Amino acid sequence: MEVGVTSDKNRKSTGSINRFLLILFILNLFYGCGAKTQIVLLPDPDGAVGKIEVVNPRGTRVLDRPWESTEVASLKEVPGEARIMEESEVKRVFHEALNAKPQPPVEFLIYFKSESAIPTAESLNSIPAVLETIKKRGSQDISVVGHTDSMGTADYNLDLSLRRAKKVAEILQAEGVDPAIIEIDYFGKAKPLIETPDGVPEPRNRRVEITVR
Amino acid sequence: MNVVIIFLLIILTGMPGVINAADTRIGIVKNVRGSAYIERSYETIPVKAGERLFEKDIIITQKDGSLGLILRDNSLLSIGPSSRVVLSEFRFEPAENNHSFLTRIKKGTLTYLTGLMAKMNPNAVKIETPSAVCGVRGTHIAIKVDED
Repeated sequence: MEVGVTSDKNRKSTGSINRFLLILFILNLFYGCGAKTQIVLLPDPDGAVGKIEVVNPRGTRVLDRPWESTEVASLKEVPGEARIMEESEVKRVFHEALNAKPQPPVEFLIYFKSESAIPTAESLNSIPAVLETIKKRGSQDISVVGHTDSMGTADYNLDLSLRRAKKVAEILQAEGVDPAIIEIDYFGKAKPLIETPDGVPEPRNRRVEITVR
Repeated sequence: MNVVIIFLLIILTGMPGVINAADTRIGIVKNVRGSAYIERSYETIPVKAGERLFEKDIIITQKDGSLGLILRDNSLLSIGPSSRVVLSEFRFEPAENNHSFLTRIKKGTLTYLTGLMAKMNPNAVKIETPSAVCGVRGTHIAIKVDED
């Protein structure tokens, strides 16, 4: 299995924009020049603005201002001049898709004492809020992911993070959450919330992340 | 004794991989309106909320259909009516820093709000349309593809 994973990774690392141009070229052969596409950069719910690169064999157009849009008539034409759309026009064109957007998932953190898989008493106080969120969202997809601080060996911490995640999953299950919708994962000390050198105790990294989707 | 230690090491180091391999779902359908289907392994399944999603699923909506999905990296994809969208590739492996998401929209409308993956690797998210590829470095995008 290791071999499969490695070769898969190597193959993926060669994937670049060139690969997509090749895909587009092949699509072009099969389907002709491609249907008209309209692309809009929306501001985030929190107001920040990202960046989109629109690429085809004829050129690239970058969108990086709110409500900026480009139309691409076909694979054989450069992506059109960027223009700022009216918010009302965007909401009209994308009305149904925008309405279908789910509420973002909600995350909770449960903390642990050093070397322990028993949540701190304070953390346990947030379990009712987790249950309430699961119920309110009608969630059928919950992740429980265990972590540790950087004290101790990688193997020890991997095991500790698994025990922490399992403990939190057990608590949720005892409160009536269907175990079939809980997915457990664990990373040991590999994914700290707060970066520290190795061998440093850090209570904020001794955690289980619960994501309610 | 040595055998026991080696055995424990195999269990401890090997298990994350085992869990990932056993459960390859890439997300979940959160909400559905009207007629929406998933084409999976040459079968067409009507979609309900809670339906699990897998790589290569094709999502199809009729004139009255729309739906919202939450993917494993907490990104949000919503699809409007008369659409056909392929979830071609989804890799979210934080332990290996191995990330990629490739969606193809053949027709219709979608909106996408990036999640953890785009934060970890801004080149990881691509949406392909019949006439261009969109590299989504962040964070909120809407796409409409006219029928040919």
